[in-house]
Amino acid sequence: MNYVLSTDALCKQYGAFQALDALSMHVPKGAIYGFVGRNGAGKTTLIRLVCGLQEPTSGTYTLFGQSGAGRDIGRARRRMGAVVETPSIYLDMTAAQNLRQQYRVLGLPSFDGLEETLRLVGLADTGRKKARDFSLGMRQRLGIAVALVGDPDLLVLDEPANGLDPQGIVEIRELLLRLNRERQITVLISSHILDELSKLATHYGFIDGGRMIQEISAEELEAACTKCVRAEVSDTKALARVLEDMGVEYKILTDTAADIYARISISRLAAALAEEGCELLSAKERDESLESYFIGLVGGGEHA
Amino acid sequence: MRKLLSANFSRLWRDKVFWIGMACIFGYGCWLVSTRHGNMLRFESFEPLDSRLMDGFAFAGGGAAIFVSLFLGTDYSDGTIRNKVIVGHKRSAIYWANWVTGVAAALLLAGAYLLAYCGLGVFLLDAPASPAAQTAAFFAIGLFALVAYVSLFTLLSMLLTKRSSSGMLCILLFWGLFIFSGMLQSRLDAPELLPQFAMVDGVEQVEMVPNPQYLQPGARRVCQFLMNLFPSGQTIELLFGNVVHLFRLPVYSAAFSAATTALGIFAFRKKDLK
Repeated sequence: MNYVLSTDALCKQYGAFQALDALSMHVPKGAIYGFVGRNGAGKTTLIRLVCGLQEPTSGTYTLFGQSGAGRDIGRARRRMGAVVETPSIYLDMTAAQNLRQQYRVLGLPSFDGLEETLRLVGLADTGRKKARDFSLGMRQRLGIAVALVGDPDLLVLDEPANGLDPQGIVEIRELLLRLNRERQITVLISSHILDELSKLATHYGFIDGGRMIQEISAEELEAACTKCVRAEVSDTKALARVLEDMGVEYKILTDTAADIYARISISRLAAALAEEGCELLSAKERDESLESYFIGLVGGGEHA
Repeated sequence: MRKLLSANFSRLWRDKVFWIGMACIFGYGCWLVSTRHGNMLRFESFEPLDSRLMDGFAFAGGGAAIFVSLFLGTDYSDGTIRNKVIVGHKRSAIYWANWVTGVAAALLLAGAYLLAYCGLGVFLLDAPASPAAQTAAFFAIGLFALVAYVSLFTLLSMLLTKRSSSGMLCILLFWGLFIFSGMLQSRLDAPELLPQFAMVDGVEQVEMVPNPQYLQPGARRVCQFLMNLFPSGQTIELLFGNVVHLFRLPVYSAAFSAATTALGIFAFRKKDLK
């Protein structure tokens, strides 16, 4: 597989604290890679290392085929844009002025595409308004716009939905999906909002205690997530007898509800229950969520 | 580095602190000339053009403390320094670009003073009293001292990530060095003997006694070295027109600038950015 970014046994130590512990990850080209982990798991540390803001204590990473310790890493970095924690924008400048500033930093010969980038992130109408007067969501989108200057092939976003209202979260999600589909930009995104992440990620990396626990594609995750049917009946004791006879796994939740871990014929089940004098009130198919999968991987306690 | 300089100068052009500094220093130059011209008219005093010409370097040094710390501190407080690193600019290039911007701003501040002072002074003040060669030499010393100031403030501003901390430290350091150098100058200027008045048989007599503040040769050499080393000492020597080692001072400033910049680049390359 063609990887845009891969890390090999990356370690980062702050004094006695081991933030990253031999972390290896692989971000395929064209993916939206969801980076999942609890607070302090090492997500932001990894992003800082990949962005060149900090040096790894040991281990290496490869960005667009260039080693992080190599001479040509600067050229590879030219192909990436990032928003690390807070958006990096000049608060005393307008949205357009901020983008122009980044055009200059990149040494681009003209400001072509500036208006289009502002339109893409929904900031075309902000005029002379300074970034300090922007809402949190607008600042976040401006940070992404700055990261998009120079048409990067890789966009790295650290908790882009932090502090946003539901509308802002939806806007960011739609923007990222558009960037991925229309511009073929690979996106590495860390997020706490797992439900939101599950709506856009094509690949996942689960990290805990500075270690990569598992890397998995969205398809593999879907297959791995156990599907179940939540049934509501008038008597779960009767339901249990019927399911035992059918040889199906189940879990009784209350006197009237149970989860059935198999694909079963509802009409057959209803008929069998009727013979036991039990009524099937409802049956809904349920997926195990990304959140429960993550908790299953890293264990309970204080989770993301 | 050309790209970074282009970005920095674009910011400098729209930096309010810089333009307020330019206006203040220009205004001071105009005020000084008009005050001295008033003295000429009222007291018929001799007010040569070159006697306060070097004030601009001391003022520009103070201006540089404020400007450099705020300009570079904004890159940290707004997080925009990350944008430069993420897209692959070398840290040494970022440091050099910031240093060059600081030097340019400080020279423009000094230039604003000279423009106001000389522009008005040529018409309103007396002709220069010192030889042109000496004025030119003093001018070169002032420029080198200004570069040394900027190097020191760039070092602090690039290593301290909090804009308020670096701003406060740069301003305090500027004044601290200025006061320290002023104290050194007063010790260096202390006379070897002091007159002591005594009444002998009802007659007042003056006797010259050793001054305890007078520096002995060893201590004098150390004090003079410190005066020469720090840009504050050099600008004080220029303000009083009392330059002891005319040709050494630019060398000291160049060494001071080189040392602080080398240390700054080394530490900035190792620094963990957030």
